Amino acid sequence: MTGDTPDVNPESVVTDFINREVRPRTDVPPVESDTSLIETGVIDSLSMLKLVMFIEEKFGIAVPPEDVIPSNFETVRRICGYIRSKEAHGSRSTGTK
Amino acid sequence: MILATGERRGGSTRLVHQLLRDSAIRFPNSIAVKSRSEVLTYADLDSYSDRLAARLGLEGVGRGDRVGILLPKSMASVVSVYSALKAGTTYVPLDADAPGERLAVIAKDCQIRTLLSCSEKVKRAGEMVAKGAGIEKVFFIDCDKPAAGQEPGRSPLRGVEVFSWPETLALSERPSAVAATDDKPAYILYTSGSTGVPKGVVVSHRSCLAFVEWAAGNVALSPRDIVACHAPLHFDISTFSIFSTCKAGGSVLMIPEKVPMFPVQLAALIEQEKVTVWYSVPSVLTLLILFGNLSSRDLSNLRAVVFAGEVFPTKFLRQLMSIVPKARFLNWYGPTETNVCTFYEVPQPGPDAASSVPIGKACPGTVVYAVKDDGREVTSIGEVGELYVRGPTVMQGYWGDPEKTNRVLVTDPLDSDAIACRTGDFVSLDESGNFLFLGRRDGMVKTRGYRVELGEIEAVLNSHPQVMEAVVVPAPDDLVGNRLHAFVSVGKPGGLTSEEILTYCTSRLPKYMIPDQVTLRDALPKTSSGKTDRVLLARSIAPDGVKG
Repeated sequence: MTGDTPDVNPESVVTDFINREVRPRTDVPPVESDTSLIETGVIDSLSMLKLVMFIEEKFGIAVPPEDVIPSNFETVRRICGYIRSKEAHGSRSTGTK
Repeated sequence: MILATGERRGGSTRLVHQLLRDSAIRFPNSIAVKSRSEVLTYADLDSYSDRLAARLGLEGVGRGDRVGILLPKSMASVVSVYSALKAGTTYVPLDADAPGERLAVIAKDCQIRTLLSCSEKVKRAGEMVAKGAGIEKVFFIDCDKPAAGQEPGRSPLRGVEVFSWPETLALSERPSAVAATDDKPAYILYTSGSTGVPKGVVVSHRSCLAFVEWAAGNVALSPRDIVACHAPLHFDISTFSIFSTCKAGGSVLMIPEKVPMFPVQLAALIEQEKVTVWYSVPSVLTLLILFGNLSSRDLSNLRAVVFAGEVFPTKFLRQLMSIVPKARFLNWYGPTETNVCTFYEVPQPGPDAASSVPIGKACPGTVVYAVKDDGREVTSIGEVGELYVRGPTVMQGYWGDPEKTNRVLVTDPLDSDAIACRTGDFVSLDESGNFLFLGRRDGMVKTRGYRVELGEIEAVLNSHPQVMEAVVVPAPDDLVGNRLHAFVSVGKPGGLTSEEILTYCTSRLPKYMIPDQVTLRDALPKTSSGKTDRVLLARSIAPDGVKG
């Protein structure tokens, strides 16, 4: 379940995680690529943390606090753009936690 | 004697909203409220709330009425609080994120017929109406976005009289003076109730003022202070930032609900807005410490950090105290029923790693003591007792529920002539005479600073037709105090998923009461006496570590 599955489609992985782990705790309809995670209230400060930790583990990247801002986390599409940019810059963490 | 007769005559008529009147005279052009990029001066806040109070009066809403506030955290919410008080009503702040069904239960419980709301929350107001809340009038207040009118034709508020903000603003009169006394309820705060129904804590003008004035003094608030309002209005922590700041003539910074989601942005806001006083639950501070990059910020304006509502993990408190070494750190304690009743100023560099922060000693004017099981007072180290509180900040009771009230406002075990508030909290004493919080007598836990009755969540879970049995077990957690873990047995396997169970909860419970995790079991383990074995279930939850 860690970063050793490089061929997964980030969009579906992230969307699935939010719809499965986060959304059921709210009364928000299932999210799609461009649903605002902030305005709909689907994510709060703690589930954002959960999401960040999930992304770090799933994609083997380190997400520093300064990257957790709306321009990277507003929608699933933005999150995936962020993941790709991190992967492109070769910032995969060593996997040691 | 003379004093007693004087009190019986009605005593003081000092009311909470006179804090605003006074500050509007002393500091008319100072900033009273800051929200996003907008500001409201004391003169504006006084004038806006006068007009809305006058409008309420013209429509027959006044003394003896409860008014619900359904607004995001904004300038409008502050205006609405003062409007409701000036009109002589009791305000009831509602959790705008809670499901309409629960809000309707609250509205019916204390007969809210009038709502103060805004376009943004009209959908939630509509849900309340649809669930039979009994709302007759909704007054819109959109002072954050001036001139935003409503379109009654498209409104989901059918059958409800709607009053627009421009209509209210057009009024020039002041509200008629209300002949209220300070023993009248200023507000009602609803908290979780163990039997599945939330209960309303009724706080009088006198109690509110007793807390507000003590708090302003304890932090030494001045007109130069910028006080961050992080808590939502339905959380009692908010009365400090709204009323104590007003008493001092300082500015309150309303932190929008969405900002704390991004700790670095929250940290940036504290720096940019030059916040001088912070008051929140510890978990918010912990998030800031772990994920806010606080050490890269200039927090030199921050001179006081106050926390309450749950135990602040020592390691995080010490980190924060080293990041902001010049600030004062205050731990305030008190259930909603008592406002704040004890306080403790934490000396640098913070408590030893192995000990926890004391809740301190009684606030002036308040009597606080612990009573052991044998009915005697706790007087020495090592003894454990339940904390009792007597004093001006104690609530009047639970709205419309004398039975529950009598279980909490009881004959003082040490003085049969007096009434004391039984907190349900177990404490002991340290060598300096400070109280230490140890735990709860009942099934109440704290999560994210909110108090939650496990029984209320269990009542909802058990109300699902397919649920055979359900219990909720708290899993201690550094970040949020406790995570809520529900164990549910659902007769037929595959009949009900944990997702469906959560969805069922979200239409009935506020967000902070939704279980963090649901585990389905064929059957729940039993103790030898046939009760559900909560201890065994609690042990089955692996400790959930926090990053950092």
